[in-house]
Amino acid sequence: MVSKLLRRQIERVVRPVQASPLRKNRMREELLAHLTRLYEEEGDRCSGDRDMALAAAVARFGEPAVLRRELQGTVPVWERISWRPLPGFPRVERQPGETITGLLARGARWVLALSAMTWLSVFVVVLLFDRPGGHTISLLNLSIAALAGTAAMLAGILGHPLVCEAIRQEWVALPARGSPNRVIALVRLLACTIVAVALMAGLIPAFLALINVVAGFPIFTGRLLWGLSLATAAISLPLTAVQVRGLQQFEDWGSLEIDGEMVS
Amino acid sequence: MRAIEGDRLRGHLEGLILAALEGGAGHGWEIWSRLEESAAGLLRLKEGSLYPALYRLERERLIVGRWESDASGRRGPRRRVYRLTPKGRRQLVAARGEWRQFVNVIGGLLGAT
Repeated sequence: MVSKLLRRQIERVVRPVQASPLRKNRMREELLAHLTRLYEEEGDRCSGDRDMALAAAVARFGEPAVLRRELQGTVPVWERISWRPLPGFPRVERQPGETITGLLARGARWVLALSAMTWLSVFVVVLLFDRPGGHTISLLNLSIAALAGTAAMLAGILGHPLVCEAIRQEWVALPARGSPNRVIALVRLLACTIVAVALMAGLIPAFLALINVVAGFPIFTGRLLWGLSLATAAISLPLTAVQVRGLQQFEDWGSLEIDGEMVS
Repeated sequence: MRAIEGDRLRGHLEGLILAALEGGAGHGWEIWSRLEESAAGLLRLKEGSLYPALYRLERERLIVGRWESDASGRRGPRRRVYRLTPKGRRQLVAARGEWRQFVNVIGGLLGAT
């Protein structure tokens, strides 16, 4: 509970800063370490009165608005511009209080819209350049590819974060060494990781296989598709780790409500 | 003796941090403690302002920071330990020279030297 109060104070300072997530997470961690120490020191002085200690620690630490300006001044201009939200565009990042499924439901609309635009464009091109008597791309094959491609994209792009969330929860709840349930928990963790890696690793080869379907003959050989799967699997493991870490960062920081809210 | 308040102090904070690190590497809390001890409690600056100064110094490569290793056995958020770079040491020497000149000139005008 105290940790959450301290994090909320830090988040008031750091969240509005326009900077890369990496820089902001570093600020959060360092500032939290200092504020925690301040709180402990003030706790000793205030004979354990939590509210007084927190107020005293925050007073010593500084006004959020002032600190925020000072921190913003340390961010290079190019980084500030790169991470500034685009006006008129909806915020894509997860909002405080939003579940992972809520975020994915928002994302699904964009994925479907993008997929529909892409495949419609392909259809139009095929129809425009289809010549009687020449080699044509089967519209049936194209339709199958469009549906299968959209399904694959949804499974990969949206399914992966869901599995990463499962990995995060398993990791957080992992029993201590020596616990009888640890082995089962590790097996579950490994299974989730394999599923996550497979989802990402299968995306590119799946699309290439669909191109084979559309073309009506194997442009990309089976050996190439397998090779790509293995290569993508190698990349998707660290990417999965990054996504899991990002989800945990949200649990630690991003889920905190900071606007106009009483600290409780 | 009157305490030295935020605005008068802020322009010199980076030099003070370099001086605090001259004795050895330290994280933010340690740096602040060294400053407080040296100033006998007469510094009145919000402690959070230390970190923007540290980031500016790191950007200018006058100090370099790395995360404390987990082997320290401490619980809680990680701390970043900073140390002076050779460029930082040269800057500290230059800053001392400038300060002595400042004190001599202004002190002479005020009749305080």
